[in-house]
Amino acid sequence: MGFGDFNYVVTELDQQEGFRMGQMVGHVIADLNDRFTFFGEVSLTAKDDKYSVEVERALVRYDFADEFKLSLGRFHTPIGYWNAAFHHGSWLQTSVARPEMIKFGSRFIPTHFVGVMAEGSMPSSSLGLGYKVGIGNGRAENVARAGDAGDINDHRAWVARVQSRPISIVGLEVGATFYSDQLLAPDLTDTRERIYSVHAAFDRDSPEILAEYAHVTHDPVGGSGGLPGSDGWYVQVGYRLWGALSSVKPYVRVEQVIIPEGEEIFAPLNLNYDGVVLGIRYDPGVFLALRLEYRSEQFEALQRTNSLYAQASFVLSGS
Amino acid sequence: MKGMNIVRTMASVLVLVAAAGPMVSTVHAQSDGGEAVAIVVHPDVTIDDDNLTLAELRSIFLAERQHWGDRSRITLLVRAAIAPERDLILTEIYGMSEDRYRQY
Repeated sequence: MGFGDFNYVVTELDQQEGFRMGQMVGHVIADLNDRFTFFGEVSLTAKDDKYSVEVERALVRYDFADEFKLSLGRFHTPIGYWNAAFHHGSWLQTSVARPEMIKFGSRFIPTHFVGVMAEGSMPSSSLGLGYKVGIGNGRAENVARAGDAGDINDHRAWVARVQSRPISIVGLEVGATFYSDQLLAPDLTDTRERIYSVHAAFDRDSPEILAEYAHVTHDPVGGSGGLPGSDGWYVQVGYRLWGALSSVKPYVRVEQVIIPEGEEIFAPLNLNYDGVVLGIRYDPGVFLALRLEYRSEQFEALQRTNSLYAQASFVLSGS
Repeated sequence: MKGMNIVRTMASVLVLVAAAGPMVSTVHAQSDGGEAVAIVVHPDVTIDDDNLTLAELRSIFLAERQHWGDRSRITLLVRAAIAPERDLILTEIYGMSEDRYRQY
C-alpha cells in the first residue's frame, strides 16, 4: 500500500510557488509468525535539489494479548490525537497538511520516537480504555529529529498515554499524554522537557471535530523549576455534505503555537504561530481526494500572510 | 445491548453472512425486520453462550479487540463492497460510510 500527493501553491510567504511534488509513502506489513508482526513505512519527500528518503516508522510487534502488545522500533510518538491517528499520506487526513504544532519536522512536539512501546486495552466494557507506554531515546541534538542512532545523553525519554474510545460512540476519543525527556539547551545546560497533552476527537465525516492542546516546559536540571511553558493547540471542524454533494467536505481549523519570550529551547527557533485554515475536500473516487485550502498565517511578529494550496492526494491500495 | 448469535463453520476465519427468509432461522440470527446478520466463526473458537454483544462485535470489527479468549488471533473478513451485507455492517457496526470505512 502507498500514498502520494501533488500540490500547487500560491503564497505570500517567502517560499517558492508553483507546482510541488509532495510525499510518496510506502507501507509494508509482514506477519513473521502468529505473534510477531513487522510494519515499515518509508517516505520520499521532494526537496529543492533531491528527494529525501526517510524511514518514518519501522517496528516489530509481539502480541501477547489485546491487553499487552510490545513493540520495538521507530514510532510516531503517541502524544495527543493527530500524531497517533494520522500518519504519512495526506489522503488519510481531511486537510492538506497537519496542524503547525504537530507537523512533520515539528520542533514543538517530537513526532517520532525510537525505543520500545507497550500498548493495549484496559478492562472496561463500555469506556474502551487503552494505554501506550514507551521508553526511548527522545529528541536528537536537532530537536526535530528522533535519536535514530542513539540517545544524546544517558537520560531516556518516556511517554505515557491513556485514551478512551467508548464503544457505543464510534469515532469518539478523549485522552491525555505525559512525555518526559532531557535535552541540552543552546547554552549547554541540561534541561528537563515535559509535555502535557490532552485531546478530544470526534473523528467522523459529519461532523469531524478534532481538538488538541499541549503544554511544553523546559527547566534546567537542578533548578527550582516553574519557568513559563509553551502552548500549542488546534481545533478542526469538518462536515461532509449530503445527497449529491456527499463527496464534498468543507473544513476549518484554527491553531496557535505560543512561546514565552526568552524560552530557552523554543524561543531561538521562532515557533510562534497563529493560523486559520479554510478548505474543501472533494473525493471523486474512493482512493482520490482533491483539496483547495486557504491559509491565513502569522509567524512570530511578522506580517500576516495569505496562501492558497491545491492538492491531489491518493492511495495505492492492493484491494 | 442486543446480542448476535454465532454460527460455527469449518472456515478458519470469522466471516459475515447476511440472509433473508429461511436462512435466518437456520442460523438463528436475530432480526429487526426482514433482513438479518449472522456471525460465523471457526468451530474451535470458544465464545460464552455462543453469543456476542453488539459492543463486542464492534470492538472486533474496529480492531480494538484482535484476539479470542484463548489468545488466538482474529482474522476478520468483510464482504465485498457490492454486497448488501456490507452496507448493513457499515451502518450498524461501524457507523461509517464506505469512504470513511476505507479511510479507517
